[in-house]
Amino acid sequence: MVLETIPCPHTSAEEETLSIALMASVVRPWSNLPNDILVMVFKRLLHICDRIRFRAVCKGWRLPVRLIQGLFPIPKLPWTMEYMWKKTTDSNRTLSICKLREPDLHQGSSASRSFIIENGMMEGRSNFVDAEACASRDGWVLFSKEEGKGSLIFFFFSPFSKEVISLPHLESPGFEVATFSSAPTSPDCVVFVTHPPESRKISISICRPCGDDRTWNSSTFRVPRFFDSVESVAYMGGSFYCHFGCFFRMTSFNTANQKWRIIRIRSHPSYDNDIVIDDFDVFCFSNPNYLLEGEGELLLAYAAKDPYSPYPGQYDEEQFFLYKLDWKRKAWRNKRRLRGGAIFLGKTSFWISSEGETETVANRVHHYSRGTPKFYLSRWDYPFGHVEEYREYREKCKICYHPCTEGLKTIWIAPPPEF
Amino acid sequence: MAFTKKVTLKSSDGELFIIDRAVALQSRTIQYVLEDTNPVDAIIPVPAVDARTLSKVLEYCKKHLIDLNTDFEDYSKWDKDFVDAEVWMLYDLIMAADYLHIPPLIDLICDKIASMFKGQTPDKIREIFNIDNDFSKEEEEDFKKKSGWAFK
Repeated sequence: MVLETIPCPHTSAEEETLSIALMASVVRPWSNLPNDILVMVFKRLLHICDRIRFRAVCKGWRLPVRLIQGLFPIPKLPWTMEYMWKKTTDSNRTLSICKLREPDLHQGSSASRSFIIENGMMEGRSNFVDAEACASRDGWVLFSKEEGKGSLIFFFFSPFSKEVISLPHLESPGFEVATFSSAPTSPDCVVFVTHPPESRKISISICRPCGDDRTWNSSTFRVPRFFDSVESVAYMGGSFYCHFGCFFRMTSFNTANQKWRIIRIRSHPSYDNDIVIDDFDVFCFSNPNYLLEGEGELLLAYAAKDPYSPYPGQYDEEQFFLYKLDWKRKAWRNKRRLRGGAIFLGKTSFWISSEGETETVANRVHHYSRGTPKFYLSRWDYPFGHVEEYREYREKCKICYHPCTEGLKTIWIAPPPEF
Repeated sequence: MAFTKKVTLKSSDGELFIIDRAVALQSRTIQYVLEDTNPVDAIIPVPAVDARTLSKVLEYCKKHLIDLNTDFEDYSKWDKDFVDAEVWMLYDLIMAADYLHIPPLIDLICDKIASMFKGQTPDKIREIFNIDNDFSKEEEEDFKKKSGWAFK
């Protein structure tokens, strides 16, 4: 068979217009696009909001989670939540401000957004007034406040779903740290609270929000001398670890068998580098410190006094020392390099291993100091020093976090679940 | 005169397209047909694609065959203009590219479609693509509750 020409429509302009109109008038069943095409489009949506909205267009586009789960990850950097709950003259209503902010990976591009969750008068929020965030995990924040004398209120709030999970009142004059093991909607969630020690005894309270028995269970344990107060707490592999503000003082509490253990740290960290801490005692007892889990290791970050600070005697948190626990030798070891990881210090501290797009935060310690995001780098020397030249370094190092809104409090929060 | 092998494609509405074999080989579907049957001067039917769409797809295949040597800038500009089409045309193209299995063309159109979604609300997306909202009131409420923050 021989064909002479490539046939194409020999039509007048008028007919052409008509035929296009005809073509266009046929409804294209976009909602029935095959799943493999939908998935290919979906993976190109790099913003979580676009993904959530995409799946809310029609039933045909509500891709089953199994098709998309884990396939096209978007950067998992922590977000920040800013909040304030204030009493008003109207006793039924609370002035509620809650904002989420995502990290700005692209330096001031429109890709970075803040999300106003609540801004205005809310009813039925009397519990929230003056509540303070104690911990954050899996998109949930644990709040606490004192209710009169000798009674504490704890509740969970998820800014993403605006869900509130209240816990029973805890009869106690006060607490030092409070945290939790997993999302309060998960059956194995445990809330862990420590109370101020009294004559070499410390009491803790735990509560299981999803358990059959939701009441608080308190236990008292003996602690050695000088274990005065718990400064920071971290959850790792089924246990809550408490750090008592000094290198030698640690305890663990296993949630499964309820065992309380004193971890005796034998040696103190070595200062073999060019850093000399002259007032070691002060350094030990009163510096802000943060316990956290990173890649299966227990890490400890200590804010150090800046020897050149214009305000001597104040802890400006200009430097951070970072240690990891050497379980074998029971000693804190200097951790000089983060090897691509990044640390976010706060009421609950986060470790992320950064790769791909998030490598802009790699090898840095991030910390909000009086509402200002600061980041610290381990450069030629140890410890992690605050990078002062904000503007100059902004370009090079890419600071992804913005200063907190004035008057609001801020806490790191895990990014929203993707689906 | 150099001898170039030709292939004839027949669209769903019966139009015939005679093209270089090399152009047609960019479609994996046609590649399989040619490998299997090796038809000489035979007509390969393309029942899922109408003439208008097929000619547009072949335009893409020809461009990407001949202009392999042009630099990247030129190429991406041409691609951008190529997909700057009506929404219904994009649908026909993506279905044709999927049927004929031309991965770079699928990628190109998916990029274009995804770019139309960015920053749009579900309502706006339904309007652009002429899609009916088939969710019930309860389901809508559930989305708002679970991830209302993402819709603002």
